[in-house]
Amino acid sequence: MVGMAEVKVTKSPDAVLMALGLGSCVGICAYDAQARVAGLAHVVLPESIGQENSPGKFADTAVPFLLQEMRNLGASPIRIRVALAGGAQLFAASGGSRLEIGLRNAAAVTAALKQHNIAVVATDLGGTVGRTVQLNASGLVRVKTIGQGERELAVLGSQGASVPKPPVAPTEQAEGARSRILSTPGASRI
Amino acid sequence: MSITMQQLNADCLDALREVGNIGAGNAMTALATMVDHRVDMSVPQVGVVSLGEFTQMAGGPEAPAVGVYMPVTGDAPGHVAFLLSEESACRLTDELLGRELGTTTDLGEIERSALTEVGNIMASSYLVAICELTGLNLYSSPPALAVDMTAAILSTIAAAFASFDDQALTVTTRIQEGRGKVDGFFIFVPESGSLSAILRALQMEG
Repeated sequence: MVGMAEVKVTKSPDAVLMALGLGSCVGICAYDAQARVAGLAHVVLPESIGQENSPGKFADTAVPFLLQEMRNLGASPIRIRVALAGGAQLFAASGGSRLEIGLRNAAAVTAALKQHNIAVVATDLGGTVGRTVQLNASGLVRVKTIGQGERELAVLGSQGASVPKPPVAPTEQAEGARSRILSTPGASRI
Repeated sequence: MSITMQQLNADCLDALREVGNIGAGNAMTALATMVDHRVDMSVPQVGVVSLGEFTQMAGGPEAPAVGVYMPVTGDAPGHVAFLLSEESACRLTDELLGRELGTTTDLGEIERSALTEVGNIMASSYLVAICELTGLNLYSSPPALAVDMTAAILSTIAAAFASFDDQALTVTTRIQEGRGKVDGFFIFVPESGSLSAILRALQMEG
């Protein structure tokens, strides 16, 4: 279980990393298929603005922290593949901008990964529904929502087989209906 | 002077419990008037919880729930939320809309609108009672409603105060109407800087 603002990494072959009920938060599922190192970060906010006490909480600090933790277990950033889920806007408007950070989180995580040259393989971001995301030790990423049940989002590290395709920009998903499934299977280097 | 969560002594916790008691009591009275039924509430729980614990406070993390959230501004900024299981929300809707119990199974636009309004009235009643008790000026903002997993709702609310705090002081009151037909939680989260304002107003701090 990866709670809000937590980052967990594992090399255990039967471990399952899971973030329950992501609302505006973004779950970063990262996997190095060769080293068999899995990591999950549960990002709450887009920018740390210099705060260092809780690196897992902010997109800009969680990404380097997650990568370092995975490196410590033998992963190499060049082999790490990532799938993203979360960043929804649960509350119907009028709650004020403080509740609309889902999209900002999604954009900030995407930007931070790009800055570190990490490949994003699949995304399920934005929209208006909460998600539970889990990553198992073989790189399988599953997403569960209340409306749509559970489904496979990606298998991270199935190298070579997939066709590069750019991830959908989070902003395009802002008005995603409940039933829309937003993902782009296929590896891409960004 | 602002006080940290760790400095809260038993007297302060008692004072905050009383704040929760009076606020929730007023909200319950409002609800009882609307549904024309007796509503019971528990003694408020006051505690400091981590962000991770916050999402586990009410019911199972993946259980479907309805949350009405209202940001509080003024002398002591904070957050007020009213959380119901989806089942309870359907029953409450039946009562509010004068339907036979068990009629509502899906929360459409009318049902959501009714629940938002109830949440609005209850959260406002809660705040009014706190204002009267403390003499502080607190203002409610328009409420927002979400229907989703409990943890998703709570974590989204938590994100509103998580920017500077890794933990939250929460005043939680469980409410039950009609012998458990409607079961919900009222959650008040004063921001860390607001604690001293509330306690000072209650003359807990020089």
